[in-house]
Amino acid sequence: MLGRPRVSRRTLLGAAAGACAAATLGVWRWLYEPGRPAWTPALEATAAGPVTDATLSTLVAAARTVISRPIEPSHYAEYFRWRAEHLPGYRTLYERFAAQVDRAAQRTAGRAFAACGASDRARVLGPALRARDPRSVVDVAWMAAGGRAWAAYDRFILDESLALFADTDAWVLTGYEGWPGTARGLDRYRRAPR
Amino acid sequence: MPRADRPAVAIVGSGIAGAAIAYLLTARGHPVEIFERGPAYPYPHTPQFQDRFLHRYDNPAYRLPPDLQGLTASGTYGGDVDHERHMVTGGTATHWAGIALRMTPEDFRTKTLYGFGDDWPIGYDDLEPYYGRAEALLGVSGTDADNPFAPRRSRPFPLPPFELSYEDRILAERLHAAGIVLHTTPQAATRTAYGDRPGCQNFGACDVCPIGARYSPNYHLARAVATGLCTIHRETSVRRIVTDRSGRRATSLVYRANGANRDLEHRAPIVVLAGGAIESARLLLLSSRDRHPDGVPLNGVVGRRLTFHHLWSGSMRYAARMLPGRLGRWTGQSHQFLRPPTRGRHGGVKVELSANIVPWPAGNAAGTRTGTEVLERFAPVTRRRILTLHSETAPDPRRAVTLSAARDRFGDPYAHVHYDLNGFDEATYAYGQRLFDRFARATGALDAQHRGIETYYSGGHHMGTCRMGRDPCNSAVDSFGAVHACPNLFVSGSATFVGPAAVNPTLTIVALAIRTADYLARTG
Repeated sequence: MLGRPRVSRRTLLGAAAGACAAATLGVWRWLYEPGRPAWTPALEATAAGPVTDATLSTLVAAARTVISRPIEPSHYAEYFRWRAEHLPGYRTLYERFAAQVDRAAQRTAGRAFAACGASDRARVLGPALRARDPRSVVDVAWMAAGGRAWAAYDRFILDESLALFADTDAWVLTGYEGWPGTARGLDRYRRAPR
Repeated sequence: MPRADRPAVAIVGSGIAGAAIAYLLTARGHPVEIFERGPAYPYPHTPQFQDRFLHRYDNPAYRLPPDLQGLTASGTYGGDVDHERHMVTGGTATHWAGIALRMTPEDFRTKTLYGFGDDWPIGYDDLEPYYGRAEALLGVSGTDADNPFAPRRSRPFPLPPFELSYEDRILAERLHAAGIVLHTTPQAATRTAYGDRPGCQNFGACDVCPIGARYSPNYHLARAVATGLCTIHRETSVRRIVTDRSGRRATSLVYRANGANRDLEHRAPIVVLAGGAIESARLLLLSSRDRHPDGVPLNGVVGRRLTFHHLWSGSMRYAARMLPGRLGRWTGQSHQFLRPPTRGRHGGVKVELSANIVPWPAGNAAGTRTGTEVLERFAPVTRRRILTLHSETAPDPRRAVTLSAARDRFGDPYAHVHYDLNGFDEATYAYGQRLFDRFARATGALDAQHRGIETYYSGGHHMGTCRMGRDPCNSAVDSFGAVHACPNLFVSGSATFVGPAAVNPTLTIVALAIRTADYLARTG
């Protein structure tokens, strides 16, 4: 009769450690699988609708902060207004964002976000950087505890502000007379650029 | 007054060919009914412009779902053939660049003169009056005064040209010193006001021009509808053409509204297929007598010799800022190499200084964290110019549209597109590379990078699947577009091209459509 195989405590511990490492690796790879990171933000399916002027001011102030170059604010305000009124999820996101950054600004500087100076606004928006690329265990824990909202703010407010900047004000700052989408006339293009 | 006392001509597809025929027939009192698979597409394209440029919004209202628009593909073509087609009211030319060029007399006789391809059953002289009418219809701005390679013309351009940009003038002077002519680009956009179309204001948003300065087929569709003689059945798919017992006469078409669950039949004395080279061939193949006893007798030519233009491009970097794209329109190009002495060993090439700022601004802020990073990414673009080599190929029967195993919403097979390059194309690519190097050297580029042969792009120009000819054994239609075996069934558009030449096809499409409309009005 064969006896029960003897397995040492050391072997058991080793196997358990290996299993934990494999599970951790699996979870990590699942989190950061290329093209489908677990934290990919999405808009909620909430109704479109108007936002207040105060919310628009907060959004434009956020755009100014992330762009940190001279811009014409009016078309950013129009961009945010249109998306809130026409696309599901944006109004809710914008209102949550405005409330959250205003609370943080009150704690940091004692005033509303839009009324803060550039450095205070940048400090308030700091979590967006962290949400973009959470690599440490602490970052992941923070995301799981509620930091995911910042990933959505980053994706749908700050990233979109930079993209709008790239399509508009960046042209003027680079030396063009205007950006595509504005009536630039048929004379200037035949003369030497500024 | 509308004269709806006669049965309407049925036109399948509302693109630039279908719109021209509808407009010209209704203007002469002939009723037409247009069947368009795609949705409405407002004109002028102000809402689309606002979506794109003010709101950065890709509006799904202007897209067909994948169970209505699709195809399968094989071969080496790396582009997305399916979405090079814009299936909306007005068709792909709602989005076109507007470049409106005539083919040359030699382009109609490549077999005789150069030993490749086939000769067309008509020549340049036959088409020349229609080119002039097409330029008038579209409102083409241009001049031949700076282009010694332009074919003869019997009437001037209707509008003055868009002048070369400041930077293109500098490059043109350098090229001139090296024996190369860079000239202006004829284009269907209004340099000055034209009829009720305003002059271009350089929005740089030409594919969704908000004021109608760049021609859109929807301009003439609206006028056709305004006569009271034109009905457009939107979001309606034509499934097949029905013929009489002999197969020599098309009697009706079977169609279904995209959201409906049963077919309807529409009787028509004349049917015109104008759905583009891929869908027109597909509809004929779906209607084949091999598939239906009351179908269209086909001869094996339909679908064969699918031909693209082959666009290769490269980037040239300069010490001075070039600021490309200050004019949204195209400015400088050269027709000097359309008919080189070595043509026949390879194809001709149209050389174009692109107005595009590739790859800006298509989403190139991705991954940036600040406006400064965006500007740093933008800066090198201002010292580069993109040179595009718009290249001719020789039609090849192995490149073809057939029916796919995949099926659409109604159970009809999609088109299957097979496309490869051949030895002729490799020789044309090599010729184009030499031209590119020559342009880079002549213009004083600091460095230049030409893209690989595998990067070829069709330009959205799909041609040749129902080619015209005199011999019913090796062509699908005659020079008016009438199907040889079924003479009241017509094909209009680039499907009927015998060869692609190297120039953009749209003006030739419209010239041929006008010729077909005249023929229908005369004989119908």
